[in-house]
Amino acid sequence: MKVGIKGITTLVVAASLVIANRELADRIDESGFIRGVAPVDQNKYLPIGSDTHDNKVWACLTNPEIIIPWEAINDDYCDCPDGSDEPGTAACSGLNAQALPGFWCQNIGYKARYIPNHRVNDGLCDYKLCCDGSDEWAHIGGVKCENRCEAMQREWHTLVDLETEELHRGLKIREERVQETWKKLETIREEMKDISDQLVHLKLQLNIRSENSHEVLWCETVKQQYEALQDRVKFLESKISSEDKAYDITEIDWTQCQPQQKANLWTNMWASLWNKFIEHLPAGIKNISKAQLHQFQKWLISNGFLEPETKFNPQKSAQIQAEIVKLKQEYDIKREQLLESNPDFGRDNIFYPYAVSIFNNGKVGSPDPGACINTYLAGYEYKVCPLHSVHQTGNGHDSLLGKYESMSEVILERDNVTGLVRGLPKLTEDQMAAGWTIVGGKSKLVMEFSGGTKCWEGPQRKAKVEIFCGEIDGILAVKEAEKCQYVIEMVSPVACKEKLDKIDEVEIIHDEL
Amino acid sequence: MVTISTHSSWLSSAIALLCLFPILVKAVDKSVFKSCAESSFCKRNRHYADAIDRSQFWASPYEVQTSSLKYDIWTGKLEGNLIKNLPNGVQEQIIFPFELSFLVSGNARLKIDEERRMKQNISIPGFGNLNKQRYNQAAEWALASGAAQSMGENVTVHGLEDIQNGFAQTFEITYGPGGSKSVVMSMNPFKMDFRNQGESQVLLNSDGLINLEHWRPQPANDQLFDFQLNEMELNHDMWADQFKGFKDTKPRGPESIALDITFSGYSHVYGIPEHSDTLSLRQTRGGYGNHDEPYRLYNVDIFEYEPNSALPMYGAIPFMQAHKQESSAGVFWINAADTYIDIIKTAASNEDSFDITSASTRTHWMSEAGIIDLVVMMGDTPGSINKLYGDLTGFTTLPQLSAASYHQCRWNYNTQDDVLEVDENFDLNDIPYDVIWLDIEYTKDRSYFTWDPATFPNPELMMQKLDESKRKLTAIIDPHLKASSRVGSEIKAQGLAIHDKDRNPFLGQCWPGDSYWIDTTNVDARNYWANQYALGSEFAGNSTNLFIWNDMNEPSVFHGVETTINRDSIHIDGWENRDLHNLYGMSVVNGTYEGFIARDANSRPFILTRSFFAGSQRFGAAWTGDNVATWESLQIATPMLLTNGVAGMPFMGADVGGFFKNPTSELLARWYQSGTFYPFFRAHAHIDTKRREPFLVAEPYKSVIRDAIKLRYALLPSIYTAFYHASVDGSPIMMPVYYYTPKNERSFAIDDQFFVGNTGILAKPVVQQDVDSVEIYIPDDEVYYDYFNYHCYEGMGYHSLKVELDTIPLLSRGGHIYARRDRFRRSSELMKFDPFTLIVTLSKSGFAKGDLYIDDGNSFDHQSGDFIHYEFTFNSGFKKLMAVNQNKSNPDTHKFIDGMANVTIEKIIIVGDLTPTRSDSQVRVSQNTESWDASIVNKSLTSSAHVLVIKKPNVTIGTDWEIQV
Repeated sequence: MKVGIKGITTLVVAASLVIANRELADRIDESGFIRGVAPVDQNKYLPIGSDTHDNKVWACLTNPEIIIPWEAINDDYCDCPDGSDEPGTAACSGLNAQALPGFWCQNIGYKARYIPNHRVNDGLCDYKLCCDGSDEWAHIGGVKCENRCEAMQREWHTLVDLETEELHRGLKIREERVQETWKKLETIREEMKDISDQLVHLKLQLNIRSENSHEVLWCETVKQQYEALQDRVKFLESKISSEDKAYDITEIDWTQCQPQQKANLWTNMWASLWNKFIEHLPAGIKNISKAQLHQFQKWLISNGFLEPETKFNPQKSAQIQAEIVKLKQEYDIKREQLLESNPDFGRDNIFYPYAVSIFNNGKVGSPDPGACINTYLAGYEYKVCPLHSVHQTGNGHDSLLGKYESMSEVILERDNVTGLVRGLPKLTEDQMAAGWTIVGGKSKLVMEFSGGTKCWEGPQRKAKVEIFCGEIDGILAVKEAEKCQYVIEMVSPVACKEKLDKIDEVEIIHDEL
Repeated sequence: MVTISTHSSWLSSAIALLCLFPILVKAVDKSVFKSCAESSFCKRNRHYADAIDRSQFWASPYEVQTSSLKYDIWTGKLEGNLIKNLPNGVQEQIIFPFELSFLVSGNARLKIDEERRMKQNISIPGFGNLNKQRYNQAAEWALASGAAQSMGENVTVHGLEDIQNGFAQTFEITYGPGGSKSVVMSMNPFKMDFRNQGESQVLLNSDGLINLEHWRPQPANDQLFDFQLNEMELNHDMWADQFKGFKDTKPRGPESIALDITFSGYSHVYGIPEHSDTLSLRQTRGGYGNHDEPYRLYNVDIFEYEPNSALPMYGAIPFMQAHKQESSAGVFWINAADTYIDIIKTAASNEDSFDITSASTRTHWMSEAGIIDLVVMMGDTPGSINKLYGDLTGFTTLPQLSAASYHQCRWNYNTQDDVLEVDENFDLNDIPYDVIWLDIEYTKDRSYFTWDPATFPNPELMMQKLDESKRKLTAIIDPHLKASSRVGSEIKAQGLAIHDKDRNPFLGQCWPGDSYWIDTTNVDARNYWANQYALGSEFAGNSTNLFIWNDMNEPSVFHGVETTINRDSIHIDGWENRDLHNLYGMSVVNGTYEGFIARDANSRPFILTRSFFAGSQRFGAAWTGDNVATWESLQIATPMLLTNGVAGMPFMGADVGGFFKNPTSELLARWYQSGTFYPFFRAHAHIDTKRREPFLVAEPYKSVIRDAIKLRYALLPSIYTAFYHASVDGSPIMMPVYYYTPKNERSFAIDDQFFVGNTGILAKPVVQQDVDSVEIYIPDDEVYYDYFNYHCYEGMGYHSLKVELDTIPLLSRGGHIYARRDRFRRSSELMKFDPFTLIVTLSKSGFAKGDLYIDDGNSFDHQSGDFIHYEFTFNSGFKKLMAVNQNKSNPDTHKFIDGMANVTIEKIIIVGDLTPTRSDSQVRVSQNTESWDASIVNKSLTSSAHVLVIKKPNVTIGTDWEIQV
C-alpha cells in the first residue's frame, strides 16, 4: 500500500519538474519566436520597459493600460482582458474579446495559417489548419501530431488542378451551347428581316392595287414607298460615291396628299413620283448614264419597288393578300422563337434551349420532356424544368414543388484554408462512376420556384434549385431542411463561369534554415 | 413527438399513410383525458370521500384483526390481517393481509393485499389465463436491488401483548437509529401514525377513506342491490365502461384501492410528477387558485400541454414530499396503475387522539388496481428525504460527461451530410456542443433498428466523423414496431408483443402505421430488445459514440383511448396494462440499458426517455415532452424540473426553444439562458418549424445563445459534481430554494429561481418578454455576490437586478467553493486536460466550503474507485484554503487518476473581505510535502466586494493540498 502511494508521489514530483522545465521552453517556439505569433507581429511582443525591480514588462495589446511582466506572455495564464498575452496557448480561449487572430501555425511547405486558440492543446491534431501539428505542442494526453504539410500541399495542388481542368471542360461545353443558341437566334433574326422586307413590298403592292383603298392609307403607302426609295437611294449612293453625299431630298408635304382619283391613276402618280425622285437624286447619281438609270429602274421593278404593270389585277391582289397573311404568320412564329418578351434566360441566353418549348406560341405551355431533368431519389421522381416548374411524383402523389419565379447567380464562398468552395455538394460513387463532375467555380445559379401544392397543415411548397458547374446535366440531391421547403442540388455546364484567376493565393513557405 | 403527422417529405414515405387519419388538434384537448368523474374508480372513491365527509355517524368497516398480529424480530416485519366488514346481512369478512416492515434504509413500508386474490381463489368467466392476483410487482420494478430488505435491528415493538389481550386499542413500534422514529397503530378503526422524535408526521387513514374494492362475482344484470357495497359506496361502472367510444372490459370487476394520507403540520407538499404545475402542489377540491380535479398519474401522450394543470402527462412518480420548518417527510405509493391524488390543506384541528396542531395537508390516493404498497420516510431536511427515497428506488445514474453537456436536436436532420453540416457549422461559429440527435426520419420507413440507405448510407462513418471532435450521436428507437418490419413480425411470431384482450398481438397505429408494441415487462422480450443493440448489429454496428432516445413509450398509440393503449390489453403473466401502465415506459428503457451494458460493460449508456416511473433515474434522463415556443412554456419548465428533482429524477430537461411553433429570437435566447441550467440541456424543434440552430440565429441573439452555452461548459465541473451528488444521495441538481433555507417558510413555494447543486449559485433566468429588471429573492441573511461582477447583495427579501438581453441574473451565495473550467473547447471531452478555476465566495463569517468530483466521464471505473473527489474548505481565521481528496480508496487501476497528474488549478478567485497574511502579494502553497509561492493578482472588478485572485498556484489534481492566503 505504501509503495503505491510513494509511487504516485514520485510520479507527481517528476511531473511538476517537467512542468517547470516546460514552462521556460513553452513561451518560445522552436524557431526562437514567441509561440503562436506570426513573424510580422513578433515585434509586438517586445518588452516595453522594466519595472522597479528591473523586470521586463509588457502591455496588453488592446488594453495598454494593463502592464504585466514580460514573462507572463505565454505562461499559460490569461492576464490580459483581451487575451493578447497568450498567443501560444489556450489560456484566454474562454474570453469573448479576442485581440489575436489566433495561434499562428508556420506550416512550412504549405500555407501558414491561424488556428483559433481554443484548438491549441486540446488533444486533437487540427491538420486542416495546422498541417505541421504545432497546435498540439504540449502533447496533452500523449497526443503527437505529425507534419502533414507536404502531403497536404500535394493534395491541394491535385485538387486545384482537377478543379481547373473540370471547370475548363464544363466551360467548353457551355460555350458550345452558347454558340449554338447564338447561331440559332441569328438565323431567326435574319429570316425575320427577310420576311419583313417581303411584307413591306407586298403590302405596298396590295395598297396600290386596292381600288377601295382608303385615301389616307393610299397616301401612307406612297409615303412608305417614297421613303423606301429614299433608303435605296442612300444605299446606292453609299455604293457609288463617297463625295456627293450631301444630297437633299425635298420634303414632300404628305398632308397635302389628296388623291381623289381612282387607283388606276396610279401609273401617273407613280410616274410623277418617279420623276420627282429622279429630280431629287443626288448629283452623283444624276450624272450616271441613262442606261445605268434604266438598269436601276429595272432593279427597282424586280425588287418590287416599281410597278411594271399598269393595269389593276384583282386576282393578283388576293394572292398578295394570302401571301401577306402567310408571311405574317411566319414572321410571328419567328418572333416567338426569339422569346423576347419572356424572362431572362441567364447570362448568354444559356437557358434559351430550355425555354423554346415552354413559351411556344406566345403562351406558357408544358415543356418538352427534353427541356426537363428527371431523377429518382428515395422512391420519388423529381422533375426540374428550368424556367418552368419542379415536380415530385411518388407514393401516389404528384406534388408541384413550385412554379418558376426568378433566377440569380450567387457567388460561392471559399474556405480560406483549403481554398475550396464551402458546402459544395458531393457526388455519390454512382454519379462519379457515371462520369459526373462538380466544380466549385465562382458561382452557382439559383432558381426559385414557389406557389407549389399546399402542404398538409402547412404552407405551399417551395423549391430552390441550385445549379453547380459540372459536365453533365443532372440532379445530385434533394434536401428538405424544413418541411415543404426543398433545395434541389444540380450540376450542369450552364452554371460554369469564366476561368478562375487563381483559386487562392497559396503562399508556400520554404524552410529557410 | 406527438400524434401529428405530415406527408410532405420524400424522406419518409410512411408519412403519407398517416394522413389518412389526421388529428387536427391545436392545443391540449382536455376532453381527450378522463376527468375524475369520467373515471369510474375515481368517481367511486371521491364519492366515498364526500359521503363520509357529510356523514356524522360513519364508522369505517376496516379494522385490524388483533389476533392475527405477528412480529418477527429477525426480519423486522409485522404481519396481520385487515378485516373489511361487509354491510348488515352479509356475514362474510374480507381479509386483507398486511405487512409492515422496516427497511435497512430506515424507511417503514406497509403492504396490504387481498387474501382471496393472493390465493387466486377467484373466477374470471371467459378469461381463463388472466392473472388472478392483484398486481404486486410494481415494487420489483421501482425498487433498487436490495432496497426491499428489512431487518429487526433498531426495531422495538411496544405493547403488542396488550393488544392481543384486549387491553389496548393502539400500540407503538419504534425504529430507526436510536429509535427516533415510531409508528402508532390503531386497531378499530384502522389507522397509523408515523412519528419522528415523537412528533406526528404522516397519518394513514386518519380520515377513514381507506377503500379496498374486494373481488366479488359479477352480479346478474337484474340484481337490484349489490350486497357487497357498504352504504357510502357507489357501484358506478364497476364491470365495464366506455369512454369516447372505447369500451373497457373489466374482467376482474372493481379492484381499486384508496387511502387517505395526512401530512400532519405540513402546509406544503411537493412531487408526484409529471404535471405542468407549480413546485408546491395546489389543493384539488376547487377554490381560488386551486384545481378542481385531482392530480392524476397516468402516462399519456399529451399534446401541446398547458401550464398550471393537474392533467396526466408522460411520466408518473407516485412520490410525495412534505416539508415544514422543523422537518420533512415523504410517502412513496408503489403502484403503477392509473392513480388520482386529491389534496386538501386544512387549518389546525384537534380530532381524536391524532395530534394535528397546525396546518396539515390531507391527501387522498386512489389507484385503479394493484395492492397498497407504500413507504413512509421521515427526516430533518428535504435532502434527507431524497436520500431515503434514493435508497429505495436507486439514485440517478451518473451520466457520461457528454450527456451532461449541450445537445442539439431537431425533427429531423435529414441526411448524414445534413448532420455533418450542422456539426461543422457549430465549429465555424465557435459554439460548443456534444451530442447531435436523430428523430424518426433516419429510419427506413419508420422501422426502428434500420437506417434509410438513401439518406444514411454510412451511419458508422458519420459517427466516426462526429467522434473526431469527440461528439456523440443519439438515435431514436421507439417501442412501437412496424407490423410488417423484421422486428414487428419477429415479436409477433415469438409472442413478445403486448396482446389485446382477445390474445392477439395488439395492433395499433403509430409513426410507422400498423404497429405492434414490444412487451418489455416480459424478460424474453427485454432480452430480444436488448439484442437489437448488440455489437455488430444492423442498427448499432460497432460505433462507440451512439446514445439512444426511447420516445413514445407511455406507450403512445395514435387514436388510442386517452392517446394510449387499452387498459384491458395484456402483458406477460396475464397482467393487464391497467395493472402496470405507468411502469411500461421504464421497462422499455430498462431493456435498452441492458442492451448497451451488453455492448460494452464499461461504458455508461445514455438513454433519454419520455415516459418514466419511480426508478427510471437509474437508467437515464427524461424530458418534459412536447412543449410550445411560448413564454408560458418557458416559465413552467423551471417548476416542472424542480419537481422532478424533488421526486428523485433530477436528470431532466425541457426542449429549449419550445418543440411546437417558431420562437422569436428573444424567446429563444432567453430559453438558452434558462436551459443552460437544465440538468438535461437539449434544444429540439418540430419538423414544421423553421431551422433554429444557434448558428442560424441573427445577432445579437446568436452571441447571447453562444454565451449561454459556453456558461454551461464553464460550469460543467460543478454541474457534473452536482450529478455526482445526485448519484450518491439523491440531491436535486437544479435545487429548489427551500433546500438551502429549510427554515424560511417564505422560500417554500419559490419555483422561479433555484440553486445550482451545492455551488451556492442562485439563478433566476429571465422568462418574460421585454423586461429590463428582475426581482430576485434572497432567502437568507447570507451575503450574495453577482456571479459576473461580484457586486454584493445582502438582506433577506427581493432585490431588483437590471437586465439586458445578455444578462442571466445569477448570484453566488457567500460560503461556497466551486470549480469552473474557463477555457473554451469544442466539446466536453476536449476539456479533459484543461486546468480548473476555483471560486471561493466567503460567507459573512469568513468561511466557505465546497467540492469537486472528477472522473473519466464515460466508464464505470469510478465505481471501483478511479475518481477524485476534493472537498474544499476555507477558514478565514487560519486564512487557509484546504483541498482534501475524499477518495481514500486505492483502486487496482487508476488510469484516470494517473492521467490527471499534469492537470492543475490555474486560478483561485476569493470573493469577500480578506486581508492576506503576507504583505508581498504571495501565498504559500503546499502539496506532496513540497511548498512554493504563488502570486496574488488583485483585480478591482467591483467596488462593493473584495476580490483576490491567486495566479497559478500550480497544485495538481489528485492529492491533497493547501494554500495559506
